[in-house]
Amino acid sequence: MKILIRKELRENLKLAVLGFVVFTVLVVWSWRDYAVMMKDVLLGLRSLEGFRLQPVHSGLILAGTGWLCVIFGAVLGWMQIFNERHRDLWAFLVHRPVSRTQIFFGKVIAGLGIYIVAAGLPLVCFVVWAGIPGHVAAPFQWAMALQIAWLFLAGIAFYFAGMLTGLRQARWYASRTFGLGLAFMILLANAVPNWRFWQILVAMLIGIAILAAAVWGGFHSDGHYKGQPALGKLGLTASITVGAGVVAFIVFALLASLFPNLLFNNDRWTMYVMTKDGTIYKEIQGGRRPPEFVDLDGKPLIDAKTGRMIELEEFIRRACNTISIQMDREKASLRRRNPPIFFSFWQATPDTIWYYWNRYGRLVGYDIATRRCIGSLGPNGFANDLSGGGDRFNAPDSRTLQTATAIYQTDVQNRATRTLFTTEKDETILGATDVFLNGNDWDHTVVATKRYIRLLTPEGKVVWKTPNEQDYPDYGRVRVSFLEKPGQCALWFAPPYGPNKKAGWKLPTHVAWIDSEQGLFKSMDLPNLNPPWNQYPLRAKVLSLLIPPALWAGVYWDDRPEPPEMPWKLVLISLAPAAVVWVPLGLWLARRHNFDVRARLGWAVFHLLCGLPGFLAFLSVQEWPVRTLCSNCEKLRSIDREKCEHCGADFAPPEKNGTEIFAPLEITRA
Amino acid sequence: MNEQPVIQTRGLTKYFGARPAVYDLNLEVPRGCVLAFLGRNGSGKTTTIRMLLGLLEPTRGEGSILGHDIRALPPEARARIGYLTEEHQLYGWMSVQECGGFQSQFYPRWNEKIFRGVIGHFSLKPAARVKDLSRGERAGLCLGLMLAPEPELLILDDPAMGLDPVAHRSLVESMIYLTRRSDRTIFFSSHQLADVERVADYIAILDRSVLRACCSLETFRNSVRQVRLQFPGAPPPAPKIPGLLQAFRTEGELRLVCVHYNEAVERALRTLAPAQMEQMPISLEEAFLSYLGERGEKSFILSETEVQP
Amino acid sequence: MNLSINTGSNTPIYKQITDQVRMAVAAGKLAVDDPLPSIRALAERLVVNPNTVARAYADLAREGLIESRSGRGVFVTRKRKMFTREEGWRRLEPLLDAVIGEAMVLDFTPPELREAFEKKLGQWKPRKGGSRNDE
Repeated sequence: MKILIRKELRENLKLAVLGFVVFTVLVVWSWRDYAVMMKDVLLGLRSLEGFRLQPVHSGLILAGTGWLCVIFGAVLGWMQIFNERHRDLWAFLVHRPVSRTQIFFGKVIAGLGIYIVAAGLPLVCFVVWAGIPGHVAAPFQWAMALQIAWLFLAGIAFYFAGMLTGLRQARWYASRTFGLGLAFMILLANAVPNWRFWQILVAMLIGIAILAAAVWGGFHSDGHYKGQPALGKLGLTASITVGAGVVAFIVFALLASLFPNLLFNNDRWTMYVMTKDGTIYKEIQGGRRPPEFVDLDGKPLIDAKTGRMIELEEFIRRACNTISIQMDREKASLRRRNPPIFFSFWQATPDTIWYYWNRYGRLVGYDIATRRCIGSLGPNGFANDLSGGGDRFNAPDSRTLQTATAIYQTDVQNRATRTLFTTEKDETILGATDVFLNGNDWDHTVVATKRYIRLLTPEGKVVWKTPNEQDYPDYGRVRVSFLEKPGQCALWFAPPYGPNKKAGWKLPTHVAWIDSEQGLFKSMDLPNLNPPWNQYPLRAKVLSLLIPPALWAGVYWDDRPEPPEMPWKLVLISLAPAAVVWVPLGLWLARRHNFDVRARLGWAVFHLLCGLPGFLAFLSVQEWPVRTLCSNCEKLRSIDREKCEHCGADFAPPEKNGTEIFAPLEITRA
Repeated sequence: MNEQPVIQTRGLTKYFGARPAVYDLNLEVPRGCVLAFLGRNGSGKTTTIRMLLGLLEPTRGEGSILGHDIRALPPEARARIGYLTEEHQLYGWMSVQECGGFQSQFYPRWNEKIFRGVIGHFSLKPAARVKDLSRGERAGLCLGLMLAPEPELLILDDPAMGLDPVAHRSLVESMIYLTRRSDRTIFFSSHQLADVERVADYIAILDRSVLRACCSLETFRNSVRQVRLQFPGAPPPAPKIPGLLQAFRTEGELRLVCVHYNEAVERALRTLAPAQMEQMPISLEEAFLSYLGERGEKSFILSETEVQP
Repeated sequence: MNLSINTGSNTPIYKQITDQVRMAVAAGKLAVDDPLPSIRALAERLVVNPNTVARAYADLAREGLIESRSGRGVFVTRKRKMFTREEGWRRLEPLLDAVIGEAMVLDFTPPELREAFEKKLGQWKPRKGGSRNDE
């Protein structure tokens, strides 16, 4: 096998070098991009945008890596097959006295080796460059390179898909490219918002294994379905099913765009809103009409100037600013699962950039000129290193930072922190939000602890203080509306979905008006506005018809905090077309071509689970042998069976025409 | 010597779509012989060879080569089979030397002297790239690559195609040389009837996907007879005798080429009342041409379109 | 000895070989006890299947023209009695027909033919011990 690896390396040398050059250009371009930007920042020519401050996350490197890995991988895989496109050259290769598996591995080891060096080496150098202190003026964690790593891995999926495209002997030329559909899904796996690291990794590896199995099988049978080992057939079927699914989805999406009513929600939705004078109105949205505003009795709000229903723009002018505080810390965490947020931009001085670094819970400063970390700022003040002791800042807001028991303000120019507010006794801060009533001026901060909600000024003075949802436990979120009079606010306590559903949608929305002089002076309970969300609108039912039933299993793979509910009604709707159309069609075809019982059963289950894409894959993958008339029983029989399926007769030997010359061959050796 | 044939097929059939390329082939090739596989273009020779080597999945039927099932040829069997394709395809970027190096690492029994000998005979420079070689030089290289591992069974698919006369002669000489080993078998398909006459022990003839003849060269020659009947006037049309291959009608003469000529056939011919009837000798080449051609009365190409002056 | 064969001829290759050997012996180019090339060597020289050469040699041996001496090769041998008079005439008849027929076509007269025949016979030396009746 070493010989084959060497031969493959030598054969694809040009492509390898080209790939290496292209990736190096990408990396150098990204590096230069960052260097130029930092120079401009140093000269004061440019302001900072948070995300691109870490070049490992820049749009250029991610988009470039994504496109290049996909294209290079696919071209490399395809080329390795295309090199032996001549029938006799492929015969020469296959006639080597080595097993087909060894030929497969010879190609794959060489190909992946080329890929790893040509694509991986420049990328690794880039990440290492970013990781060395003094190169990048932003926090660096090795885990930040994960996005690049996923794209690199997706390129491997496209490598196998490219090989499969080259290998596959199929009647429909388009079906040869279906493997790319699976590779595309593997690429998408790295962007699923809720997935954790191991989920992404497992999903990608499973997908790559399926494609690799399909390619391995293809080497055994020279691209046909029939002569493959079972594992290859499984891989090929799975690949083509996913690919067919992708194509079907695209076709349906295009068709559906012709019928917008199907996709768009015609439901109407009502919300409570408040104007600056503290009056509550209902806003009715949806149904592809402009929103309507009515008061609590149902009378439409009339604009005095026009005499008609008030328009959205005018209402917005009258509406008050409302901010929201999440009191469930888990949800407010910056550690989103995918892609994770490692840090966020805090402030910049002329010579230093300050970030909030999630890992340490502190503010970190990087000198713009030397690009080194100069120290960190925590609740206890400035420290030269990243630890500094003391509490973590839990989350940054726009102007303040919170710990569990206090709110701080920072002065990065002087590298100092100032306590804005401290909780009493044993309270912990559940949430806090900075409020900006007019643009960039920081007006207030609202703090919610378990017992009280307070409004603070930027100096830390308490404007008002009120008990926190004593009668409404587990509400989890409070909204604060700021009314015309300074210091006067309305607090909204709205019930969350889960408990509301459990209580039969009867939980009220509680509103409390409060100001600095009187304290709490008015409160009201408002009924739940919308009927239980129709879980199965027509839209959902129509879409369910098109979903292959097996996809519903994905509901459980997505690991959300609440155990997910399986929408059994929609699952049944998905199973219906499979059971009524695809399974009978598949069974009919299987019977027509006399599959054995096990095969028929297997394919029936497959059609039930995979629906239309499964059926398309079934058509594409099977080689449908022609049928001719049996000379014995006059029924149609497959040409690939020795005995007739109906009467067991053999095929008739060829007709003799009287000119046959047959004699036994015996050696008379010299 | 009752050992197993090196190649054996039973009912081997291949359909491409609805068209049979090879139909119900039953063939046995004994060890140590030279068998020529004949047939017109498209009669199924290459398809058969590719099926025998496990490069093409048969539609139905079985075959074995060196005792192994053709659908699952293990590497040990492949190491003993030499295969020469008609296009003499190799990797264009390799040099002659590299080809030899590449090939030699696959076969434990590699005879470098043979390889050098063949390369030298065709005057190939070791550093020349395959893509710069002519057709004949490439054939020589492929021949060297095939012969050096000293295979027991050689399968050659139209090896003389496209070769210049010198390369062609070298090829035939190599085939004769190979018969030195009595356990070595050669199975080749060819259009060169002269080569077949020189080299083959046995022939197998495919006629439109069906095997119509499989016998020794001697038997074939003895089975095909040419009979000339002379008539005073225009000769009658050829009679429907079984085994009639071709009939030529010219002025006053009816010439028939047929197989299995016996007394019954002779009597049938006499009923036509010819003035004279005699058997004429026929060369092997003419016999092949008659066997391979269309059955029945033969007209020359373009003879109908000729404008009478 | 200068043997050559043609493909595409009405005569099978093995028969061309036997005919040429016979002619060589008759013309005196091959004498008794002269060696003939081995089967393999002749096959490779003529570029034909050794079985064909073997067949030719077997036929010649059956006629008594050559014999294989173990270990040393194939040699021309004394003609052993194999043809009866009748067989001999049968072999000669068609050749006589051919010569006379050709002569008639070329307008030679019988006396001219007889003269040419006598002249040829004189040119051919009698064989040493080549009489039919010898053992």
